[in-house]
Amino acid sequence: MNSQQKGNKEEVLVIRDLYKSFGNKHVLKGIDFDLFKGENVVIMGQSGTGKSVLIRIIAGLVEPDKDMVKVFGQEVDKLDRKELIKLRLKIGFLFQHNALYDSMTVRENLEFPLIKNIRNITQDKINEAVDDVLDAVGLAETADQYPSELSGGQEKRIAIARTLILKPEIILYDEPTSALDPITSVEMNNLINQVKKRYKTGSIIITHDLTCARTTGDSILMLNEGKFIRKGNFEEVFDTDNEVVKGFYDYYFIK
Amino acid sequence: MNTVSQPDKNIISKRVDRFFIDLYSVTRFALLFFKEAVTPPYEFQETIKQCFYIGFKSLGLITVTSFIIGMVFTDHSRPALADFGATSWLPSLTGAAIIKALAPLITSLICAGKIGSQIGAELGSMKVTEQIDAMEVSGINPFKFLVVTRIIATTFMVPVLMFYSAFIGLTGSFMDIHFADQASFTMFIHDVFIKIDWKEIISAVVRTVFFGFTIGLIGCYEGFNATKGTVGVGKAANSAVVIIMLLIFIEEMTIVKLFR
Ligand SMILES: Nc1ncnc2c1ncn2[C@@H]1O[C@H](COP(=O)(O)OP(=O)(O)O)[C@@H](O)[C@H]1O
Ligand SMILES: [Mg+2]
Repeated sequence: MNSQQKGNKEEVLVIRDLYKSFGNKHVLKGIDFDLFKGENVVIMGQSGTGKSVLIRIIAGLVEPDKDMVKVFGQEVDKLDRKELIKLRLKIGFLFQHNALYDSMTVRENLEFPLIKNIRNITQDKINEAVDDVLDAVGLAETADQYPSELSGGQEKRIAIARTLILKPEIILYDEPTSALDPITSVEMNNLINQVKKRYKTGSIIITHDLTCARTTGDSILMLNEGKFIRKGNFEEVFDTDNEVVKGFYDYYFIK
Repeated sequence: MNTVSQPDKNIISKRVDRFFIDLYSVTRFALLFFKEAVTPPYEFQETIKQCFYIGFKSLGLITVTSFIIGMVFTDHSRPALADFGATSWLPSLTGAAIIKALAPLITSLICAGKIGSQIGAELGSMKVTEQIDAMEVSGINPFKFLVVTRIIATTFMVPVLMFYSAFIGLTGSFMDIHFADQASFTMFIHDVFIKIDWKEIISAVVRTVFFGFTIGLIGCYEGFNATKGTVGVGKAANSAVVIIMLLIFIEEMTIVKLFR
C-alpha cells in the first residue's frame, strides 16, 4: 500500500512505539501500527506473544508503559473516565471466550449496553437495534435463549451481535475461530467480511488460523517476541525463509 | 481496578507482606465503593433485585436454624434455672440471648455462608470469563453495576433478616415454654422485653449493618480479584466465607465492647 492511497483513507487507529511489560516480563517491545476505516488487519503469532495484550491496550483495558496510542486522533491513556467511555463505544471487542452475560437471555445481552449507554432510549428503538444485529448475524430465533443453550458458533455470533449493537467503528476480534470446527470457522470468516461491508468497520483480527487470515485479512502482521516481524498481504508474509513464519505454516499442515 | 502486585523482594516475609497488601487493596476497594455509591447514575433496580435475591436465598435456612436454636436453647436453659427455682425468668434469659447475640450471629453467619460465597463465586466467574471486561469495554461501569448494588443490598438486608431471625427464634423459644409451662404469648413477650432496652436493639442493628457490609465487601472483593481458571472461582468463594466469618467475630467483639 503506497502513501497516496493512505492519504485518501480515514485513519482510525495509530500506534507508535508501544511498550508493555508485566513485572520484569517484557511483552510488547516497540509496536507501530495503523488501521484504516473499512480495513481488516490480521495479527498472527505464537501463543503468549502479547496479541491479546495489544488489543486490550487499544480498548483501554490495560495500561501501556510507554507509547502513543491514538484512536480517532485521541490519545487513549490521556483520557479521563468519561472520555474513555465515549471512545470505547466506538470500539467493539469480541472476547476469545465470548464473555456473554450468562445470567441474561440473548435479547437482554444485546439490550444491556444500549440501555446503559443511551439514556431515555425508547423500547421501539431498542427492539429495532436488536432485530438489526440479530439479522446481521442470522440468529433471530435465539433471542429468548440463554447463552448456555447456544452452540459454540451461535455464541460467537451473538457475541459479535453484541459488539455491533453500539455501532462501533473499530472491532477487535480475539481469536474468533479458535474454538470452532472448520465448517463453522468458514461461516465465521464470511460473517467477519459481511460485517466489514455492512458496517464499514476497521477491524483487527487475532488468529492462528491460516484460512481465517487469508479470507478476512486485507493485510497481515506477524508478531514475535514483542515485535512485528512481517507485514503485508498473505503471500508476502509467508514468502520467506524466516524460521518462525515457516514454523507457523509447517505446523498448520502438520508436515 | 488493578490489585497491587507482590513486590519482587519481600519486605518482612511473604505472608506478612501479602497480608498488608491485601489490607491496602481491600481498603481501596471499600473507599471506591463509597465514592461510586454517592455518584450518579444509581442502579436502583439492580439493587432492589439483589435485595430480593439475598432474602430469597437465605430465608429458608434462617427460618429453620433460628427456630431450632430458639427452641433448643430454651430447653437446655431450663434445668439450670430450675435449680434455683427461677424458671419464670426463662423468657427474659432466652429473649435477651436471642435478641442480643443469637439473631445477629445466626443471620450473619448464614448470610456469610450462603450470600458471601455466592457473590464471590458469581463475580469470580464473571471475572475469569471476561464478562467484567466486557462490561468495561461497552461503556458500563462494572463496579457500580455489580459491586455497589451488592454491597448496598447486603448492608440493608442483613439487619432486616436479623429482625426476622429474632422473631422466629422467639417463636421457637415461646413454643418450648408454652408446652412446658403453659405460658401465654402476651406474658412471654412482656417478660422478654423487660430486660431489653433500646440501646441493645440499636447495638444489634449496628452490628448487623457492619456484618452485612463486610459480607458484600469481601464477597465482591474476592470475586473481582479471582484468578484465571475454575480453581480461581472456587478459591474466591471459599476465601470469601473464611475471611467474612473471621471479620464478623472480630467486629462482634469490638462493637459489643464499645457499646458497654
Ligand atoms: N494481567 C497480566 N499480568 C501478568 N502477565 C500478563 C497479564 N496479561 C498477560 N500477561 C502475560 O503477557 C503475555 C502475553 O499474553 P497474551 O497477550 O494473552 O498472549 P497471546 O498472544 O496468546 O494473546 C503472556 O506471557 C502472559 O502471561
Ligand atoms: Mg490471546
